[in-house]
Amino acid sequence: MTQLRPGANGPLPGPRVEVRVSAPCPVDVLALLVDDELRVRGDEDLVFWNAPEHGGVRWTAGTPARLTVDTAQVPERVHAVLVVLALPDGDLRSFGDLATAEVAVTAADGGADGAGVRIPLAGLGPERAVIGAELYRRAGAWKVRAVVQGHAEGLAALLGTHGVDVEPELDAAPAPTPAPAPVPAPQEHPSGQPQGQPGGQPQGQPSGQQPGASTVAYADRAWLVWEDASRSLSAYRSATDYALHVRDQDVSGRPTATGHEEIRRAADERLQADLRQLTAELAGSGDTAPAVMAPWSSPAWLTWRPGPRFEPGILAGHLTLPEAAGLRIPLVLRQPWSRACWVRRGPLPGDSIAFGWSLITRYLAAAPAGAVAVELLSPGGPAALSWVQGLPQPVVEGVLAGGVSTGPEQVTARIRRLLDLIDLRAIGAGADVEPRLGGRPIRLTVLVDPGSVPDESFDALLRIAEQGPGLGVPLVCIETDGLVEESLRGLRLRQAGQSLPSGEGSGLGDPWVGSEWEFTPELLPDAAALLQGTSAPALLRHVLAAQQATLP
Amino acid sequence: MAVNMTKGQRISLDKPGGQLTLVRMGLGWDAVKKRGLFGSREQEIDLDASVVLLAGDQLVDAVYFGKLTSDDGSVRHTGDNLTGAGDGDDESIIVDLTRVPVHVTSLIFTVSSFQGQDFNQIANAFCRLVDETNGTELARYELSGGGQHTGNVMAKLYRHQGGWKLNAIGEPTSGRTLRDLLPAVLSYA
Repeated sequence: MTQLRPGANGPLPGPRVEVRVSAPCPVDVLALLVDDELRVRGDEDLVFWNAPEHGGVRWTAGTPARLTVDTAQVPERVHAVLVVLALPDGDLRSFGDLATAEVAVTAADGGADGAGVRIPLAGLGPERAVIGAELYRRAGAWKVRAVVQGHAEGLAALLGTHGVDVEPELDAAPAPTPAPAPVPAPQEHPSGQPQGQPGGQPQGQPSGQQPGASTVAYADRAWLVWEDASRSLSAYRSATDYALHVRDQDVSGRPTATGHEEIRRAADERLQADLRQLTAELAGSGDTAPAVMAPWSSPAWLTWRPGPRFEPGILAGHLTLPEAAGLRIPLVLRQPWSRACWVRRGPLPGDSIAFGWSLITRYLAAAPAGAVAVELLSPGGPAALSWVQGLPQPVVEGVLAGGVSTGPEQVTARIRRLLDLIDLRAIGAGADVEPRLGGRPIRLTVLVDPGSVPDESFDALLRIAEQGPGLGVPLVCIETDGLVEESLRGLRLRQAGQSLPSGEGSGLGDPWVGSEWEFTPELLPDAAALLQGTSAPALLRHVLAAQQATLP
Repeated sequence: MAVNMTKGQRISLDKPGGQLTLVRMGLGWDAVKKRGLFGSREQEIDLDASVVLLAGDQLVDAVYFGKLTSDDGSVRHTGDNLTGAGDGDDESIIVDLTRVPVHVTSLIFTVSSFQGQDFNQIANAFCRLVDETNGTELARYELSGGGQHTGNVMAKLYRHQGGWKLNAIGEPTSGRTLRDLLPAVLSYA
């Protein structure tokens, strides 16, 4: 389909066309048959819910309603058919709030695939009623033009301009409308409103930005979009299952009210409309996300430096669905972590190591300088942490001063000390337990290969997983070779944390309806160096060094 | 140019029957005062509002105190109220009709008394359906004094010509949970 920008025109895709409106909320659709001065001859020239057919134009109910225009039937005196869209009386928004509304004009008889025009209703402000498209005669042929202009006062005012006299008591209902209409306008301009149009994003504020309202909004919005998409998908699957059920009934000879094909088509349309809207909602909003919520490839990382306080979330990866090609939802882990984090083994050896350390790099980057001390536990032996040797001495003595414990004995002893720290913090002490850490309030504990933790430390580990995050001891478990036993204890340990798969395209269930999403972790480009045990990824070294500074 | 479309009538943009987009079921009741040995005590009464989503005669989803949001997100229960304390609607279920899945053809709203007290023992019990876009009450039933029933199949919203219509039912029935009410509900499917 061809997209028309306001003012542009194109040939009508056929002599009989269908006009469909897609919008994120209910929108009234009407048609005006006008002369070359854009005026109606009489009020029969308005086609709408109370007068659904006239002069070759038919209005069909729906949400939103549909118009069919048979140009051969349009009276000679009619120069153009205007497609009018209006927000219902109860809805206090304006078209400026509906960034994704769109008018599509296609051939009613199918026509060639891809024929037709799309008119996005973009660039609008306080308008509550707009003319989306104009179907008009031109040198004996019919054309379509994108108009996208309207009235802030609403439908009655718009119709009035074209010569329709609307019943006054009707004005009683929209009476409040003229008053609030000017109000949305000023709200529109102090931008930064989440509903802003994708085109109007402020630019150049990625790095030095305070973790203010907009980045909080980004973290939350990612979750809202994920929930909406999961629920929309659930509705779609439920509808298609039902369509199958209906089809089986059809086959067995029992007539049904609605054919299964119609249900499938409607479900598909709804899903596609939802996904388009959600995709549009995400588009552009990522541009303003701070580095820790942006992909590694984002230019925001070029200017990253630690902020004055914790960022509200970090990007773990992206969620996709086979049914929704264009939709890529960021999975943002909100901060502070209330739960431990469990990085599952991936299909390839090293997947979990690469993802785990990518995640930890982000965690450190999201923290103010001097806030975090890192505690490294590798019960399986020193090999998994050999890259630590290559770090500069001040980092090892400062940020990593919590210690690098390798082997079962050291790890057991360390887990016991961490549990002491948690117990002391639980009763309000603990700030000065280990003064050599310079009062760093967060003790990020990284456990590589939890499957190798000695049995006798397992209960203590479980308590750290359950209570630690709330007391400034967040825990990241990176599952590697050793599997955590499939016992009740192992299960509890896994469930105490947010479980994240590693490796491309692993499944992750959404927390609302449990649909399976494909998860693609955000991996540091040079995370492979960790696997060879030679050196830490450059960015991890960089954020560790930045953490080296002390709290102001 | 004031043109009359049909005799004596001008164009009305009012929609026939109103286009329902957002409705709320409200359920309210008061705790019953009971004369006890040491003065009056309040007996706890737990009424539950529920809604069933149907596609034809097939159960698609149900929203009640144990499941506060339908999988598709179109129906939300504001949460269980165990005692009826407070004025007005004690429990609400909000339905965004524009988001109801395409194959769902009707929604049936019910009330049940979880502890099994019948409506005769419950003071000021009512249930109502409200058009949330403008606050209009679409249907209202007084449940108190409604006899020895513990449940009520209140109303049905169904798709009609691209919109939604309301069919008030108000049939008293018996059952303490939604499960008990299902046979009665399905008879209206």
